[in-house]
Amino acid sequence: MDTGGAAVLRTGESGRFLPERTRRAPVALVIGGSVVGVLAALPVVYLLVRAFEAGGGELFETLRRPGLLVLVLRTAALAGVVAGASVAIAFALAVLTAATDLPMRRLSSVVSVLPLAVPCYVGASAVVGLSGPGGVFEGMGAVRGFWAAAIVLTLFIFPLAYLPLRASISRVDPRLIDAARSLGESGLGATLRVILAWSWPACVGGGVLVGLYTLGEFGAVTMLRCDTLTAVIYEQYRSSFSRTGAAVSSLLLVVLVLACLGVGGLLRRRGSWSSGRGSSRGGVTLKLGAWRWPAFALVMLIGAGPVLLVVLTLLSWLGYEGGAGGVGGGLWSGAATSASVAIAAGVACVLMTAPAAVLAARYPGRVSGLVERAVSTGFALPGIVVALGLAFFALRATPFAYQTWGLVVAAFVVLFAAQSLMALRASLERSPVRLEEAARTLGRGPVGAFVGVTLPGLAPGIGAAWVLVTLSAMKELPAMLLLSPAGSVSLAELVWSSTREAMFASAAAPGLALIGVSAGLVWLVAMREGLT
Amino acid sequence: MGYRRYAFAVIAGIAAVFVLSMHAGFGRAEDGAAAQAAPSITVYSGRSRQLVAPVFEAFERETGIRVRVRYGGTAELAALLLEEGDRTPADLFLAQDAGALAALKRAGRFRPLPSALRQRVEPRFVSRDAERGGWIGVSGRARAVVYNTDLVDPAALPATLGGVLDSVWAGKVGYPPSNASFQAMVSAMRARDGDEKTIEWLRALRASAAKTYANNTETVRAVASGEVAIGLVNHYYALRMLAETPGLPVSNFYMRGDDAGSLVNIAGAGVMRRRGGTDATHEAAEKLIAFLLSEQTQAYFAAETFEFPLIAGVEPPAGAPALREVGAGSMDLGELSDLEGTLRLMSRAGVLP
Amino acid sequence: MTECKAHAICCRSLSKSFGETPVLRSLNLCVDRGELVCLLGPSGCGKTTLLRCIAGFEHPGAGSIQIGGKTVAGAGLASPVAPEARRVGVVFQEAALFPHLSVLGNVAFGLSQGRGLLSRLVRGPGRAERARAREMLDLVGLADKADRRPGELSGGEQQRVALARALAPEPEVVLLDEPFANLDRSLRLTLRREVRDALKACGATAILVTHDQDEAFTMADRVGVMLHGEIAQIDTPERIYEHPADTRVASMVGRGALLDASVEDGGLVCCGLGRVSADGIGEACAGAGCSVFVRPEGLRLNPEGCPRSVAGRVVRVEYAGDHRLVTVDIGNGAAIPVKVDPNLRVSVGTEVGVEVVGPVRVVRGVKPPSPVTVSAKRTAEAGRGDR
Repeated sequence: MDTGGAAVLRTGESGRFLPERTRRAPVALVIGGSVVGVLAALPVVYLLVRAFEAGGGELFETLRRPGLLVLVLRTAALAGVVAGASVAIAFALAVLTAATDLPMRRLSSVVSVLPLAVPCYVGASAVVGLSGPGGVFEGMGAVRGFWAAAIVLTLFIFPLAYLPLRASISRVDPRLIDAARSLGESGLGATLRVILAWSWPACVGGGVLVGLYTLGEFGAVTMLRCDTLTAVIYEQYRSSFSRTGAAVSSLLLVVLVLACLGVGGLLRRRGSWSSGRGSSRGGVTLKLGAWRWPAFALVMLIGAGPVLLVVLTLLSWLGYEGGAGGVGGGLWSGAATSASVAIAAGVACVLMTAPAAVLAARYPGRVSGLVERAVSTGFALPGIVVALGLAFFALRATPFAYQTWGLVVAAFVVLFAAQSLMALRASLERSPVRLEEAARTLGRGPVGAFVGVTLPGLAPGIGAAWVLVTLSAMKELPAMLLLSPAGSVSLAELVWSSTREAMFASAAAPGLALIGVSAGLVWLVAMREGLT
Repeated sequence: MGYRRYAFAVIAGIAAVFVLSMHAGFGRAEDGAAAQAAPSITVYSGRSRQLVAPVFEAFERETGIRVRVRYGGTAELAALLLEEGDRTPADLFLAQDAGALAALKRAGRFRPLPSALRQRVEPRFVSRDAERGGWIGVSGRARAVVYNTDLVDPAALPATLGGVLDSVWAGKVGYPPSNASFQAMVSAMRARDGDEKTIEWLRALRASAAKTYANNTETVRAVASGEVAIGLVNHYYALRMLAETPGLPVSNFYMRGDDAGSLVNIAGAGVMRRRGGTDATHEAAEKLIAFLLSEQTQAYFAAETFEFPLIAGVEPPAGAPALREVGAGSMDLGELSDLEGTLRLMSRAGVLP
Repeated sequence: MTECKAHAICCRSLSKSFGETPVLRSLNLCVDRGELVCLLGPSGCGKTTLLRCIAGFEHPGAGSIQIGGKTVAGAGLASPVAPEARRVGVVFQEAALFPHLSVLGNVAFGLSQGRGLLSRLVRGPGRAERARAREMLDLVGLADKADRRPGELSGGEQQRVALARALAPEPEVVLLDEPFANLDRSLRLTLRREVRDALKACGATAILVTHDQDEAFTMADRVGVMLHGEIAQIDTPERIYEHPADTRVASMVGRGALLDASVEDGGLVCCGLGRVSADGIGEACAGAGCSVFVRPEGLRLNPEGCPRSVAGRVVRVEYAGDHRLVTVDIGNGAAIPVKVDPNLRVSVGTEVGVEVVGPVRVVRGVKPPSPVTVSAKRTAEAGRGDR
């Protein structure tokens, strides 16, 4: 199993600078790298406490719940479908934007990440609104159920897979394509047989990330009436108040997370390869010929289409009575709070995952595997579970930290460290360990070598990691609601409380503000990505 | 490329300043005891900001007591309150439905309510033993049958839940099984008629090809569009929709039979037992409940949410009868807390997954 | 456009510019079936661009390319034939093996074109494909490494796999772009032989591009010297060495002294080495200026003051095992390389005499854009290539 989990979230090419397994990691690094893992494991410990406090009875009662198997299977299927579809879309867009002569490639890249700016629940509520009375899609009948959820989720979270795929594809050695074509492979064939194979680790890593996200998604799936395990966990919190049933379901979700990582590990191993040099000469440029503009239109349609639809929907809501005034001054303080906390969460996440990333990239082993699994679990657990888990520990161990922004930031670290870890590790794996060794031979100590050489290697990843976490934290809802100091306002809460009351009009302004601020961050992602 | 790095650094720097500028927020929120002169209290509100923030603001203006509010889902907040126990910073819990209140009461989380408060509303809207710790309703939410006025003759409407199963209505009924208010009705049915009869009713409903919807709003929309003829919902959705779009062919009918179809649920509040609570904070919290039950606030709820005022002398919401004409009035809302049992029953009946 | 059925490859009047910079200038090149042509030239002379044009990765601005008698680029074609339809095998400087495939998978990559795309994508090579791939691996002596990953092979092995991969689909022509540039010298020597043998065993037509004269001379049936986007001379290695077409080729290939001279009567020329008889004066009138060229082995070192010798001073002595190369300054800045017996000890500064014993050739005076003296690196390499 060790190899299974240990390498799944990696999206860089494997083993390029494989350190010898025999090398022992410095103790400080092991400890530093484990901190984030321990933090991320706290909610699981909490779940175990809650699941078993009432004895095994409740546990079996929950496991005997009729339809549970269907539910688990549906959840797994949704994660699988969304992951598969996201990787397919992300691969197509990444090839188009990173390896062809597509017009306006930079714009296309930004647009391909743009959907990340839209929280899934906003996207879903727009879709629900559009398909309701008076909506554009009114005649199409209700857009609901498994496939609706799958489509909406895919459209708004595929950039999670796009980012690592683009990074990987932009480093395909162009000679591999030349070689394939000289061996009789057509442009399409070469793309699939060479680029797909090259970026397979990134495909799997991105797919796992999307799958984990889907497992923990709550807002969109409930709005679109696709009951998943996470939806049921919320329902159980609502219904039982004993928290035991919800804890048992959450533990089932943890099992699904581990299964997801396991499947990722298997897929990864299937297509793994052990040596390849990233291209230093600017990557592949496939000629699209007559397809340039149609391909450009396709990228715009997939990337900007859904976002535009949501924005236009929100704008039309803004026109309703009371649309603009509903929130008033709360909007600005909400935006400031959301942005500040999200930014702080991004910084904290990067700082805390950096040692874990170094550990995983340089000394892969049992510790890094466990850290990865803990962090992945945190990513997939519903926000409410993480929030309650942290509240549980904070009230007992650090009561002074309860009801502070610090705890909110900690929750965001638990929830989003996986993204940060992935981005940091990918950039570390691209910077050769040889350099560190060279620095050591030049008389620097391990710390000096790390600061002088490894940190600069981390640099491109730091920006990406920071922005990804900040973006996610902006959109996060349950942990923000439950853990922020009472009396604070956040954008996500403003959007949520409006849509909850079906007061779509007053959701419009904060929704647009949220998308606006997020779009700014997406622009930063794209900038950073252009730098690496 | 260098300037982009530069831009990035600048933005990060601004961000850091941003964070620092709100460092006050990173400190612990001051406790209620901090300001003796004008106490401040913390409220966990399961009712949304859009709805109740103006009420809290009016209260602050009127009393000088500062109110810090955490908004969230009623269920999430209830779960959090249970998790926090007596370490909770909350002085008051304002909940959207009686089930969550009942669960917290069972866990002994509420302080006693003074009799002056208890007597403001009908006893059916106050928890039993509220003098030893409990909750009180602040607005009423009645079950209703919403019907399409183009398709249905109001005289032919079913008077009881049993009547809904009549073959006349086969395939013409819409209901939101995953909705809390519908589930509360099923809980009431269980408390009154027992699990066996309830599951029979649910199965019969399902067998009659009744259509399911995501929530009350969807159900009312389906009735308005003629997709179904009648819907089992709470009363205020149709009223709200009519206020937004006058002329929609929908109207409410209130069952008067002595069964769960005439249930009147509440949104309510209770004062939390907490460490660090003082007489001042308790008193402030009770003042807030009193304010929620004042004529002005009750009238506000009636106008804004179309909920029934619970105190005498306030007009019912536009388009609704007076509260005394609604509901059979013999349900104990405290019995609605076994939602989990209800959900299990509903999934056994096949109306929930 | 003349049909060129007899040749495997025929490039006519090929021109190509990158922006304002011309890279190929009206270049002509024909390669016979089964022939191995090495294109020798300094970096930047356009040889790699020529290969990429033939392979179809680049498209020439003007001129035409025929492969196997079929026009693939140029006149009469709406658009150039795509690389995959040209039946051209390519071996790159870095082996460019597919890192995700085994050695066998790499060699079989080009054998699956008969199958549908999905089948190629999902399924590994079929039995016949595997057999053919093994046959090719046998040819390059790597049959025992069929299941390895490219990353586990040495550089030389990787290049042999790349060759096997290129040869497997029986291409009309194999193009090798500096295939040994990244390998160490000893490996290069053995690999040259092996690659030539493998190509000959398949009867493949091949063009190999290199900047290493040694490599070109040892491997090629014909060597084309490429300079500034043109082929300055294409001929057998012997002819190139002994009869360089012009001063550029002369200074490019091997070492020697290139001297200004004036033609005199009786087949004589007057140059820094005195009045000597020279080949190739042709129709030049007496008194006309020209360039003459003499190889180090065409000179002899005599003691100072010897008759028929020109006096000079030794400025450099290079020991090469089987000979010594002594550079003598004979005044006027002319530094003359002379090949001597390795046992002859001479030291720098010694006054000596230089005598012409071998042929002196008059070469066409095309002025190379760089100074006449060939760069140290090139002469050092070329010196080893004496034959």
